[in-house]
Amino acid sequence: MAYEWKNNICCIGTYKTLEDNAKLDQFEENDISFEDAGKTKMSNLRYYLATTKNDRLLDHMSLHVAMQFLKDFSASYLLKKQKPTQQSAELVRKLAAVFKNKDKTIKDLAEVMDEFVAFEDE
Amino acid sequence: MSLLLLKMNREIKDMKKLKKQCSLSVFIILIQLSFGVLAAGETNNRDDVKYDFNPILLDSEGSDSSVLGVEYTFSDYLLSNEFDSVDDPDCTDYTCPYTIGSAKLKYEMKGVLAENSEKNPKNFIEFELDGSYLHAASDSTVIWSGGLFAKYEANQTFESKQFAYGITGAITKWSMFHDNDYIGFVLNIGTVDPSDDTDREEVLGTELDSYERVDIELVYRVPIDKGVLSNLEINYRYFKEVKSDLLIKNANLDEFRLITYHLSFNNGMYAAYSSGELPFNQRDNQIYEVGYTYKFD
Repeated sequence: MAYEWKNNICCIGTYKTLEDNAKLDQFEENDISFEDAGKTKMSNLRYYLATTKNDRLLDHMSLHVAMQFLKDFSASYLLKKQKPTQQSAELVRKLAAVFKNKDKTIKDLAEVMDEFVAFEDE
Repeated sequence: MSLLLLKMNREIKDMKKLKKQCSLSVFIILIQLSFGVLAAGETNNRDDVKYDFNPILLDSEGSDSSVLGVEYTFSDYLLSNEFDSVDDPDCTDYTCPYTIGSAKLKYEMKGVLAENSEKNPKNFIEFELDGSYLHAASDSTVIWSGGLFAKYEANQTFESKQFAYGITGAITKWSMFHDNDYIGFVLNIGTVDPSDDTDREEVLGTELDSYERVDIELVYRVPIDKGVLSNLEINYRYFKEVKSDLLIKNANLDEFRLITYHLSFNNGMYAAYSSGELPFNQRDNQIYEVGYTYKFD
């Protein structure tokens, strides 16, 4: 079943981490509301490089954003592992794959977080 | 005389047929190679693995007619090893420190196959092999990577070919001068076989030797978040031929630079300005035309 963008801790946390000026500050609430954020593409966020096709630079960029995203998210929410065998590096890699793909959406990010994190409202 | 002409004509037709068969055979081999890797199937669920075919209509150079073609992209890992840290067993959340390490050998193959090889203005094949090691750590805002690269490209008649290979390295940093800014630096040192470089051909004649080249790419992206402005990105690319021929120097073909400024607005619009030029075998990598570019939705 397709993942649903909804009013839960995972989606709200994803939105706030990306939007908050003190965190990643990737867009303004006035421009992208919570309701519309799920379908917003990665290429519309502020971090996405527009002047290069260099795969190495894009790989690094996506890892940087993924690491910062996880750090900022965990500063406000308890990110308890779904399974004890899940690894932080594995989660960062999955997030980076979403951040690198210009056609992936904020909903796809939330889906990765939901797969790895046991949020308090689950 | 007419018999001789007829014979020559037939030989030319045979040669063209042979070239077509040759390019078709290479294409089939490439498809088989890709599907062989796909069948091996360990990495095909990754987002940066691609197997795309798209039919396209090509406007051929020097002709009013169009030809049918297929644009293809295959991209996959021939080797991929991860050297990530394992979280402490007592760490039950995602605040534990970690490191990420990757050794990868990746290929990308792309190009256009046209129904008539003579009328294909695009590269029939661009094959790029990239082997690298990358390192990142949760306690650092710096990521580095380095490795080897090789790139081969040819048109559908295989009359124009180019080959480049060498070493490459990249270092990037997050939040260097400003929160959430990104600065990246890539250095390539390599050899270029310029058999299709028409600029060099004009200066040196038809016999083109390979040469050594150093190139860098520097990119800086900073969020602005003031009024309607979203962010500013600056990209600088510089290419310098090592120990270049005097004729090449005099023709200003030993050094190339391109700078691009890209200003984005909060509503998705942007304006870009580019100045300079890329060397012959890099022109496909130029994203914006020289001068001003606007995208107002």
